[in-house]
Formats: sequence, structure tokens, C-alpha cells
Amino acid sequence: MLPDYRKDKWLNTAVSGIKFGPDRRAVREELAAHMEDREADLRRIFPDIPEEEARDRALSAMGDAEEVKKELAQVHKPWLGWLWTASRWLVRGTLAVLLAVCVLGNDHYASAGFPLWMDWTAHYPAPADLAPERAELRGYTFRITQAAYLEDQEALYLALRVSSPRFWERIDPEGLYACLTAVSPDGTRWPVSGAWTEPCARAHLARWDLFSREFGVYIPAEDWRPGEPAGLEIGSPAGSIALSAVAERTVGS
Amino acid sequence: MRRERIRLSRGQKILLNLALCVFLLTCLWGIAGYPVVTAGMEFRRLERTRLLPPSEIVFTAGGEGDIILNDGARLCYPVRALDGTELYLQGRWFAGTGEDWAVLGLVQGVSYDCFLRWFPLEEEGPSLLTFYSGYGYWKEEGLQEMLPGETHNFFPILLVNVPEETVRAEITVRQGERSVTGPGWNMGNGVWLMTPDNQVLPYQGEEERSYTLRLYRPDGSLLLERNGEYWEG
Repeated sequence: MLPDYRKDKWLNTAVSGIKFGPDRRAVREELAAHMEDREADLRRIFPDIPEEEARDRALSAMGDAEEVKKELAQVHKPWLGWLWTASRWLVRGTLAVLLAVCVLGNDHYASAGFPLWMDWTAHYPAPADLAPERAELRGYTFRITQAAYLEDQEALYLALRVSSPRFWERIDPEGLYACLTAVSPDGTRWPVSGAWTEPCARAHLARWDLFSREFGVYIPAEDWRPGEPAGLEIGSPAGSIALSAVAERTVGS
Repeated sequence: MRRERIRLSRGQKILLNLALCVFLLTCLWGIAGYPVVTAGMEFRRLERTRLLPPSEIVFTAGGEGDIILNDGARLCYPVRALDGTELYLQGRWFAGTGEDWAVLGLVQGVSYDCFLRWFPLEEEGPSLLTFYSGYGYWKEEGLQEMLPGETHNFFPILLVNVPEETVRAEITVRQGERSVTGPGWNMGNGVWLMTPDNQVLPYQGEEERSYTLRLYRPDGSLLLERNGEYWEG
């Protein structure tokens, strides 16, 4: 007689209703441990009981294998297990692809043209006065974050921050410049260009992160006096907005 | 004191894995430059990132539903005039109109190859939409192969809001002492594609050009003649 054969047969029958492999193995181990605990308890309570009888009693106490099979099958649905396995492999696969792209490309997010964030321009003071504080157009929020007079360039520097929660479509610099007009303190209106040609206000991309881009705009202002406001106007078929800011500090370039 | 491990249910683990996947896929999407699936989607994104309201699309070379992922090459796309003539434009171009403005955009799979420009519409009559180093060609009917002298290469100019009664259009473009006159093709929706020969006036960088536009009625009489300047490039 092979007592372990009966135990294995009972266990295999009891868990055969669980379709998901890892769950089936885990439940089988748990039931086997439970069976061994019962056996050990019997031998402790009845020290003289033969080993074989202890096994038989422990097995009987587990109940009918077919009934246990039905109950376990109802509790352990396979689809959740398969979904969990699939999600684990999905994470591993995606992580492997991402690492491969980063290692093989060796560009650390530079494939999109720009790194994820960059800050390569000097920081200037915040404006002394803003009107209005911010404005919105076409889902983008516009705000002047810095204002200073650059003495050696005889220009007013305004930093225009354009932000949006839609990180996959940050504003296009050339598209912005085409809509942008800079207004110097004396009321002169300047078209804005990224090409740094005369006669216009110059602009460049100063810093960016996932949700915003900040542009430095240099407005010609030879006779500037502290406290005089300068402005930025944005006009497109979608609408128009105007922002103004006061710079009080004079700085070098 | 030992900290107890937080035990998550299987459902919670699945949600966590899926959230992690979404994050990793978003990173991959960002590395690739946030590509979108179709040309129509990319055109609409071009409008939004240039602060333009959505236009009504009146002309396309290629289709709104074209899948543009990994679409780097500037292929030639056929456009068919109302008289059945098939012309080819290099690049997937979209033209749209609004109340008093129009847009012309080039849509490619790589976002930094895309281009969009908007034009204020004329108060009356047709408006010119000029391409950025555009190129196209058309073949004489019946020919199967492109042989020298049998294909007509042109630099395209699009007209929108062309009066309905127009049956023939031609444009003369001048740059310095050189000039070229090319026919127009009715594409429908009040859109005409003008095709002056690009071998007489090849693209030589950004420059100002003057033009004379003539539209004709069915009886052959002149409907409209207009002179103007535009910026090529």
C-alpha cells in the first residue's frame, strides 16, 4: 500500500477544478500543509496512534475530494489570475523595450528633439506689477514670469511662460512668434521673431518642462525708465489676449 | 519594530501593473516625439499648437485617415481635379478655411517635419495659399511612364473661395525679369490648384514674388483679374 498515493490523489482531485496554474499549486500546497497539521495534531493527542491510522483520519477529516473541488472551483476564477499574469508580462515587456530604447539610443529622452526639461538661460527678477496675472487662449495659459531691463542691450527682457496640461502638444515656438507682438514702454509695436533680425523683438526658448515652455522676449527700449510697463499681445483667429508687466531692476545681459 | 508588508489583493496588483504600463508607454510615446496615428489628428494638433481654431478642411493631398506613424519620406500624393485629371503633390498637404482665415499645412509622421501657416482671407474673391517649397507634377492623359517632356512639373499655389461660375483660371507669377503662366485645376469646394511651371521659376529660397490672377466665365469673358505679391518659402 502506498499511503502517499491516496493523499496525492485526494489533493490532485480537490484542486483539479482550479484552472489557473499558480493558484492551483498554491492551494494544493496549502491543503497538503493543512493535512500534515491535522496528522501532527492527531499524533500529539494520541501518542500511541499508528502513523497510517493518523494519515487515514487526517484524510477523512478533509472531506470528499469532489465536493472540495466544486467549492474551490467556484472561489478561484481563472480570468483574474490570467489577467494578473498578463499584466506582469506587460510591465516586464514594456520596461525591457524602454531600457533598450534608452540604452541603444543613448539619448536620455533626446529623441523627441529636446530633453524632458531644460533651463539654460539666466534668471531675472519677477515683474513688479502684472496686468493681468495670467490669460488663457486655446487651452494654453500665458503668464509673464520675469521682467528686467538689460542695460548693455538697451532692451527690456520679458519671460513669457506658456503652459498646458496637454504635455503631448506643447506650444510651437514659431507658431507663437507668428501671433506675438511686443509693445515697448513708448508704445512701439514690434513683431517677434526667433531669427534675431531687425526690426523686431527677438525671442528664444529659454526653458521648458513637461507641461510648459518659457520664452525670453527682448523688446528694444532705448529710453526706458523704471516703472514703465511693457506688454505682449497674442492675436490669432482663435482670439487675442494682452499681458503687461513692469520691470524695476536694471541688470547686465 | 518590524514593519508589516502591505499585502495587495490580486485585483489591486493588476491595477498597479496596468498603471505602471501606462506610465512606461507614455515615456516611450514621449521618446518617440508624441506621434499620433492619423494625418487628420496631426493636422488638428498643428492647429492647436499654433493657437488656431479648428478649420473646415477643403483640400487634402493624401487623406485625413492616412496612418502616418513612421511616415518619414515626403511621397507624392494624387489629387484629382473635377475634370478627372490626376495631379501629384509632394507631401501630405491639408488646406482648411475659417470665417476670415485659411490654413495650409504639411503633415508628416515625424512631428518636426510638419509645417502650418495661416492666411487672412481676402474680403472679396479668391485668396492665395502659398506652399513652403512645394512641388508637384501631372502627366498628359494616356501616358503610363514619366518621360522627359511629357510630365509637367510645377510649384503649387492654392486658391480658396473661388467664385462658382469660374470655368478657367490661370496665374502669371513674376520674379525679377522672369515670369511664368500656369493653368488652374478645379478641385471642388471653391478650391483651385494653380500649377505654374517650376523649371522657369525654380525655388531659390525665401523671396517675394508678384502675380496676376485671371478667372474666366463659361463664355470665355474675364470674371476677375487681380495683381498682388506673395512671399515664396
